[in-house]
Amino acid sequence: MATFDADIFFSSISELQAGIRAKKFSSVELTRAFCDRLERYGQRYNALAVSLREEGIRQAEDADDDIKRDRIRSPLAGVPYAVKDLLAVRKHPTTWGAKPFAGQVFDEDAFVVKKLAKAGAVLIGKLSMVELAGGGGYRFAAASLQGPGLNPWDITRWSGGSSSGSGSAVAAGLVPWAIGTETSGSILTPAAFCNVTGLRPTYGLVSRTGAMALSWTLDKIGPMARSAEDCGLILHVMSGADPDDPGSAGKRFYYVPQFAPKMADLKVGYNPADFTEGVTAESRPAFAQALEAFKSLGAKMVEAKLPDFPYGPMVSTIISAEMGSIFESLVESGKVDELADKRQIAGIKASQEVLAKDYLRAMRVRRLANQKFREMFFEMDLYLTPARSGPASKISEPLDRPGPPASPVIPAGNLAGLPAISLPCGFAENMPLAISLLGAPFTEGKLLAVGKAFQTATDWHKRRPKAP
Amino acid sequence: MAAKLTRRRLAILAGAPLAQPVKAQQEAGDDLTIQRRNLERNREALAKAELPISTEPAFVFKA
Repeated sequence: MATFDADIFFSSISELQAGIRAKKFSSVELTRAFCDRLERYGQRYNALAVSLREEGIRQAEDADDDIKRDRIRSPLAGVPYAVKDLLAVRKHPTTWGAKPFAGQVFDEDAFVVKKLAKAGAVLIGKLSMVELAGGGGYRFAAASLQGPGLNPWDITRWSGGSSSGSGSAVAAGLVPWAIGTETSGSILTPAAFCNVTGLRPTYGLVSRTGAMALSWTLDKIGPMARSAEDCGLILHVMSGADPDDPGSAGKRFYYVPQFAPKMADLKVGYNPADFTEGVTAESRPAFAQALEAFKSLGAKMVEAKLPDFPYGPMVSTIISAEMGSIFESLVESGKVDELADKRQIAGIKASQEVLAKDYLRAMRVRRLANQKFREMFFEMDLYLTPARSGPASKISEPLDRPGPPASPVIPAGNLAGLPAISLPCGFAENMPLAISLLGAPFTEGKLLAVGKAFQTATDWHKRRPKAP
Repeated sequence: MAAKLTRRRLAILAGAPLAQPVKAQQEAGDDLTIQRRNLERNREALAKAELPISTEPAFVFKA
């Protein structure tokens, strides 16, 4: 019987699989250890929605059988993980973090859950999230069936949303990696707040079949893990065409780090003001240091600005219109009033009043913005910004409190369907900070290569909270 | 002389729930007003964007 010290819970995917292959421990032993930890500490951070211990152990037994026969299905085989409760897992509750859907059970797994199972990954739980992925606009972190996502770095602070449990569970070493989703910021934000590496793939690269729809033209699914390298391994498995998802790009991603571009061959744009006026005063020294560390990697740095468009109003109008249609029956049934956040309830009700002409105008302006982004990425490979303007807010604080002007990069990148990665880059107020890189469509390989280079030169992503 | 039977008293006797405190109702109403105002502000901001008449919306219909 293997015994595990704390380090194992913060190991990379490659290290964990190497341990299984070297017979230091079996997948079943590893899975049991992570299940114990997830069940024991998941509630401390309001991170756990459903434990899938029994199914996980069955999958781990299969993985061990494969390994005995020298059959390694993928780099994820035998390694435990968990998914945001937005994804269907057959015969288990899929609540979307919302009380009106507390009893919802699907009889089929989401596409990515099936894909990861085929690759031998071991699903051990479903993780909490902001109710309905935040659709409608919530005012307090407590907008979740499991309560506010608590940050393992300081439980008086928020873990971010809407993939709250995915961020805190990876950060606290309750799972080695997790799946999150993003419509506008829901992977990058919890990744940044929790000191996790999060990758938002290009729109259409990962199928959304079996995932709750919030906005058909914006929703994306992506990995949250300990490093850029781990994100690459996960995306390699979970990406791919799906005829059942009308948004599927029909493409897949191959993680081939051996063919990574050289840093000296890359041009990275950034706006210096983003690292000064765009962040909180307390965060400025850490962001300045991170920018210098990034510059030292050797890429050609060029000053640039995002194309000028009303990204916030655009993304808000589009989400409201699409969500308004998706949750029409929730409003009509009156069950919308069971949600936890009053502002969100009002937002979903108000979404019923969005005019078709306003939605179409937003979608037409979006077309112009996409064109400008295409032109921008003729001039550079990637665009660098702080992922968020500062550390996670206090749980008790309303999320609409005054602060530095919100960077448009999150709504802008989501509207254009662009991939982005969040990389831990330092601390302020003893809380994690992160930088973010934005790329042209289907340039995840570049994002991951630069992310890996940054993480080779720094160790921020290896820092871990004191407890548990 | 019997006490005056007010509607409030009648409601208590009938076990009916009392009206919500005015403040709570006002807060819920305020949230809806805020969200409607947000939609209006979005509309105004988008109206300022220059939009050539030939621009199609950014979604694709596949037959």
